[in-house]
Amino acid sequence: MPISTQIDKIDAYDKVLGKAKYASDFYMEGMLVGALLRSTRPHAHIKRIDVSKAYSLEGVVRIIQAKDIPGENSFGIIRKDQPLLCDKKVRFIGDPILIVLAVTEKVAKEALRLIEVEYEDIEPILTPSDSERSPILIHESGNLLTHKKVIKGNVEKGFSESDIIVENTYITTWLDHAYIETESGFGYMDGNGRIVIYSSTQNVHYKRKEISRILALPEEKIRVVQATTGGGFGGKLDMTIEGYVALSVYLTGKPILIRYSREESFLVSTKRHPLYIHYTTGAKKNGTLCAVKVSIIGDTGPYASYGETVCLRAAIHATGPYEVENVYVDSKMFYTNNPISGAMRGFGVPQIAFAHETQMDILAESLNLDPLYIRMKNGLKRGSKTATSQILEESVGYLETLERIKPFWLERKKGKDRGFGLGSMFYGMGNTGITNPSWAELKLSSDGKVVLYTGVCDIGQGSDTVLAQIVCETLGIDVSKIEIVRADTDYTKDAGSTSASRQTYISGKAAYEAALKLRSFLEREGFYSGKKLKDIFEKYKDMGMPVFDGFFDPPTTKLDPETSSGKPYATYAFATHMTEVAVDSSTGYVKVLKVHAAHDVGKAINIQNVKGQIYGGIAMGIGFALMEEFVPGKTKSFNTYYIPTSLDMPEVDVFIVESEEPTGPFGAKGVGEPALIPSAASIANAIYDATGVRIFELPCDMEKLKLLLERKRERG
Amino acid sequence: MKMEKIRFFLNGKDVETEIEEGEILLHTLRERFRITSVKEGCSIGECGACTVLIENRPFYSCLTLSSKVRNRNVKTVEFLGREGLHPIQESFIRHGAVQCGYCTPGMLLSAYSLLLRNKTPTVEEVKKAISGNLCRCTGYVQIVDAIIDASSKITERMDDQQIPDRGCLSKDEILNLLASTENSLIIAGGTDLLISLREKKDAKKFIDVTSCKELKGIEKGVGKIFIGATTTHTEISESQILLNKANSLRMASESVGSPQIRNMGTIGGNIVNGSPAADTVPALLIHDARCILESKDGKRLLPLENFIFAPYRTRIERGELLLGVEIDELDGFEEGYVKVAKREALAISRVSFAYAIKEKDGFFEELRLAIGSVTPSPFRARKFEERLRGKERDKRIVEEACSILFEEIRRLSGDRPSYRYKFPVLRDLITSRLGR
Ligand SMILES: Cc1cc2nc3c(=O)[nH]c(=O)nc-3n(C[C@H](O)[C@H](O)[C@H](O)COP(=O)(O)OP(=O)(O)OC[C@H]3O[C@@H](n4cnc5c(N)ncnc54)[C@H](O)[C@@H]3O)c2cc1C
Ligand code: FES
Ligand code: FES
Repeated sequence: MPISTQIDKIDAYDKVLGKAKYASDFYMEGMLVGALLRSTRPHAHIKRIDVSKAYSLEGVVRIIQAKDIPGENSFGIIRKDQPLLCDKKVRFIGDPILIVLAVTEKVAKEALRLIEVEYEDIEPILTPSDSERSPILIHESGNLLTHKKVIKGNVEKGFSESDIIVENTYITTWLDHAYIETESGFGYMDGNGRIVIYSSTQNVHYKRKEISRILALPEEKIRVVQATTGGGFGGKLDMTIEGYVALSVYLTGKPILIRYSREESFLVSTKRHPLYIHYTTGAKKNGTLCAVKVSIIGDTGPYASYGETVCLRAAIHATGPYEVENVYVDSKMFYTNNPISGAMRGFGVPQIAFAHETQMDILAESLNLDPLYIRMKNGLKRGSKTATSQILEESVGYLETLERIKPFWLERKKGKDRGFGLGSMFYGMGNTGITNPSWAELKLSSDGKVVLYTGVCDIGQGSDTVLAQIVCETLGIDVSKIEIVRADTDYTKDAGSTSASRQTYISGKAAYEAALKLRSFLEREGFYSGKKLKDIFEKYKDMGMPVFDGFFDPPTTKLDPETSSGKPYATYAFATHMTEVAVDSSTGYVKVLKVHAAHDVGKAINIQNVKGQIYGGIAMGIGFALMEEFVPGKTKSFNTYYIPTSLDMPEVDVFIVESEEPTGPFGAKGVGEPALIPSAASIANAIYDATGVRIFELPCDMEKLKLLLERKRERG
Repeated sequence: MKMEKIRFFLNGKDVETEIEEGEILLHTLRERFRITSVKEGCSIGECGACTVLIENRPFYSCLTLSSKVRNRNVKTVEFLGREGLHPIQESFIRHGAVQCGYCTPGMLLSAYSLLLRNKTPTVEEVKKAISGNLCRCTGYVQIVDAIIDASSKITERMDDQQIPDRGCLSKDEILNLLASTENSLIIAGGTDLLISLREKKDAKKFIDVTSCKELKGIEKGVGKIFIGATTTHTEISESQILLNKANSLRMASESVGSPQIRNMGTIGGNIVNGSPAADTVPALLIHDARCILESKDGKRLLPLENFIFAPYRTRIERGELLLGVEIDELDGFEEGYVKVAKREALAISRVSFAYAIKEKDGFFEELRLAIGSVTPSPFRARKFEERLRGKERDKRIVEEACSILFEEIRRLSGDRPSYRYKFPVLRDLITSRLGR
């Protein structure tokens, strides 16, 4: 059944008019502005902090230190290993030490310069291998954050049966989300002494939990509301400014605004994990994959953040969208004194996709097979068994994505310095092997509308619109009849975070379930035979208007602790990109000319939104492949961290594959992260096609590529 | 803090406010007028979220002194939406061109400015017009579609109203101020200066030279052309006078930053800032540019070749003002400017060069080459020029001559690790451009 209501993005009106309120747009009389003092050392004990000079600066109202925190001085999505304010030890350049509250941002920043901190340096640990060997510990629990394995069959047997073995190492680096709005939040104390926070965030309920621990206040005393959010991409999942704003409000009773400068955002926001991937593939002459053995080592930085998620997700997806009988993946994350690595669009999968897709191309070339053919031959399909031994039963549109690309692939015409590359991926929807439920609620309002209460943070991807469409489609009403109350802990139930491409699939399903209940109620009440919503509301208003709730938690299983066997995700998205590049062999500059992108999204609830995700993902993929590189100590702002401009974007043709997922709303899955994942891999393969130079390290910027071309030229 | 009063037109309304010395337009608009549609994304002219229109051209408000808009027309996205949705806003909604929306107001203004001047833009023209506005969400595709689609629906024209008199300073007044004011700083576009002052908090007295008519404009003389110091990159790249007389300079200015930077940045600022990567400098060098400097003590002419002597160091003296540059026309020359940078817009040159060739019967009758971003300051490769003068215009011969060029470079700056990249690039590019 197609989705009949294709509507414009509902948040777009306020945004084009400049009326949308982002956190830093809030203002209240008497508001104070907060700024954070941050460590200038990668690893040190704090010996002494002297704030006296700063206090004497006019306009400074309060300086807050760790000792002022009433509750726990720690937070973390999985492991609470990150201090809100450091008092004993700092673990990276940028670790927060105290908050200055002042009448203006300028005064607050000036005060920071007047604060003296005495450090006793500890030798910093700057690589995972040092972290593994060093007797110096970043946390008392040891330097290994986590170690996961994915085991299927017998990998050694698989290699012994192989006709060919391909073994390579792939390296990726830190990337920044580079959302154009930096981390920002505004808070105040309401008339009842409750703390209200408006923040730029991807999850309000999690933030409330953390604030409650930090302030030792019950959650009911805290309200977190999502302000319009200027992009997230994973970087606004962790606590950013929320804890500081809440603590400042709590201690002063004043309205507080904290906004990171761009430099601060680059310094402290979580980064994409740099991964060192050692990848060995064994295959038969005919291209059948026999064995895949992968070792993944990641630099998780000083705090856990999403390190454990990335470690496991990268391991589970290490084979790519291919059926392999024998798999052995070993994945480790080490603490270092580098920037914090965390969640970024794809949780490790874009990195591993670069590796498995390059392996596939090398294999194809060595066996004299067509790269598309070898993917077809091994591609996951209904009935396939994944590396975690999950049997895929429904909605496996991978081969169809290849089919859609195939005519263009077969017709491709290679010019001088031009090349084409393929990149494929699969991606599990939602959190890995754990429960990740979502709720939605529907009510009628006095003005005859349906109100959807959802905890989902719309960070621009369009969940407000998609959820509205799902409800409207189910109820058979027009979008003008729906209103949304979004991501406000006072009014909406926990919908989990906007991450893991889960909201359309999971919260969309919850909204669908709620709408089904409302629908049967409306049927009983005669709405479908002409009665007005307003009149139905009138009838119930004194008895209390019923609430119709919907709930969904995708069916997954816990994974085996040794082998990770199980059902980590209820369903997967699939995609293939074919990318054409032109390489300027004089400079090493790569221009992406054209992308054909085929995505199995289950069902496109909003076609325009799906396309928007894919275009945006490709832009980010171009950045990942060709220009983005966060260099600790060097990267400061957008002048040292290049992201693609409009002129760097190619023409894109999108092909939507709809292999419906029975557990999803109208068959929908997700597309947010899948949009990005195959992109860099396909670019790297296209560069090889154009130049004969293999890329094993990203980004492949013009200087790296030129040096590789020179080396090739010298060899003749 | 000393305050001053300014009056200007904000979205068509005549407004007045007090500002601090050195206040930035972004802050004036957000804090004094509470126009929060003007966003802050970086504060250094690299993202475009703060874009506003001044006389219908996009500017980065984060790098614009508020005092600069005195008597001028400033527009924010509220102007577009003043009577409900503007066709271009409607088109953005229709095409799904808005995701998080943080780039949207700035993007709309850049697009609107383009459509005022060009009703039938091509995809490339649209992309170029918004290349100073970063968007991390959309990949720009739907934005470009929206702008193209809106172009047919826009009836407004650029109101060619006279740029209002901004309370001009004359050259002599500037020279007097320079001589008499302590701690004074000349500011033109401010795109270099305000960034370098960001971390310095001591108040400065800015002398805004862009309000001086005598420093602006391009004038043709006999065999030579005068370019006023405050001529912007946009004006240079669009100049009809420079067409076919100094094409490399037009190309160089066109390659600078983004539309906003080109509207703000001036050639004088580009020169006096003294960056090794300044794009106009190699182009000016092949035209034998002379800097015209003046102070209370008089005027002097200095070849540009000697003017910048080290990175960010020039021979300008305290109290001196750069009036402009005088260049030789290169009529009948084939000219080019090549910029190697890591992306298509908003990118600093890694390697650049300007060249001019006069060819006769397949031989170099004359050849000029100047290189940027390789040595402490851009330089004229005179030895290389000499070697090739009178030689056949042949790829192999040009490539051989590159060894002379590399010697010249090494003599200027020793050996640097970056030459592992830059030399092969120069060799390949120069060979392909100059050779046949
Ligand atoms: C985002 C961004 C991108 C950029 N991209 C490029 C690029 O691609 N290529 C490039 O070459 N540059 C680039 N620049 C640098 C800058 O924009 C140019 O150098 C510009 O031409 C500077 O001009 P301005 O008028 O803004 O100079 P200002 O910042 O106003 O002045 C620069 C210096 O010159 C002095 N000065 C200015 N005018 C005079 C005068 N008439 N007499 C005496 N002294 C004077 C000032 O005191 C100051 O020291 C970029 C800058 C930014 C922020
Ligand atoms: S804030 Fe980024 S360009 Fe002005
Ligand atoms: S829509 Fe988010 S930055 Fe453009």
